[in-house]
Amino acid sequence: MNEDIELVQKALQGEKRAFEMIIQKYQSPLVNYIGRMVKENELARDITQDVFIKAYSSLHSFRQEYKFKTWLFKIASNSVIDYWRKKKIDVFSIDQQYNLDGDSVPFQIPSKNPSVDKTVELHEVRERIEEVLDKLPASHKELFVWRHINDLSYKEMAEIKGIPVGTIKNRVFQAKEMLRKYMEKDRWDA
Amino acid sequence: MGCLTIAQIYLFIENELAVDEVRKIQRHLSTCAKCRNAVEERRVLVQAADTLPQFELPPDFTEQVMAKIFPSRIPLRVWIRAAAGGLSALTFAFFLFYVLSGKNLADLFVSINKFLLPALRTLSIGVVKAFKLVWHLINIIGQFFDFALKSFGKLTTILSPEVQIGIVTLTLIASTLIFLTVRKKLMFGEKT
Repeated sequence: MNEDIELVQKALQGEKRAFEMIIQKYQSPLVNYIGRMVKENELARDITQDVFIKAYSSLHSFRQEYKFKTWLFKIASNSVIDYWRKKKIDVFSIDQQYNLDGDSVPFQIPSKNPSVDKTVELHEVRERIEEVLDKLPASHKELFVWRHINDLSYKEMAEIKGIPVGTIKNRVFQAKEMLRKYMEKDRWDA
Repeated sequence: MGCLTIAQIYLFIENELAVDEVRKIQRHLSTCAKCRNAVEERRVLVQAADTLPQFELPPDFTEQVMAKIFPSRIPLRVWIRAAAGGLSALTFAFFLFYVLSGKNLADLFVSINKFLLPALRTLSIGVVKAFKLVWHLINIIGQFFDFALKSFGKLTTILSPEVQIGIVTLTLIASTLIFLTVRKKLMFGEKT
């Protein structure tokens, strides 16, 4: 049996230690996702705490044919959206269309000054990603964070969002191409 | 095979393609500098994205969350069990004392009573005296403020401000002296 499912069953039987193990396993991935989305360390911790409280209170509604990890990230995603709504921050729909879409993502002919130069140190690229990450639409940023910071598979992301894997892949590629564009723009503006 | 699409590039970098597809792409990359550059450029981006710094958590974060989910409230049945346990232990201790010392338990209770009763008597007298003291103090303070307010009301209509200040000062001194005198009376006849 899946380790998570086993822990969930034990937690449902009243074993506190089992839920403690779930928290220990997922606290870091969740705070990293939420932290990237809300950009505040303290707030990210508070929302992460709320996610675990919500998860515990609705643990009985978790259906074992689903992955616990995706169920937990769905709660986290909804919590982030709730926070944005409260703060009246524009929440982008995953279905919203952008100029770049799917395979229609234009192939960028490498210029003489590429946005991500092979010779540039990796840490510099990381810094530049951090600088432009917030310029991404929220839904794209979320998928980018899940893919590259939380290391979620495209299938897991599709499960969380309830949309086809292909659409998720296209959105993640779009996010990366957008980042490249912003990085290139910032580089020329500098 | 023609030039790569963006999707193919990313899927290739992330090892998300079938072996056959990977071979085809590798063959194409060996002949196409444009696609090779595009792949390398995006590979750096993906590598950097995969290694972005992590958010830190305080070491006691798990405990904090657990405390929120499971507040440390002791249920009633635990209290009942603890009380029953304590009573049983006490009974057992008395029984053990009886068996080991061979003394009558009644003697033990008499000894305890001899010690406890005088202590309780002294304590209760002290409590009554403290209560009386507080009661007298409250009465005196109340009377004083009543007198002061009435006097001040009359004085303000008759006397000039300078005389009023003088009288208030004298009243304060007199009140202090009265308080010190009365304090002696509050000793209830006992020698200091």
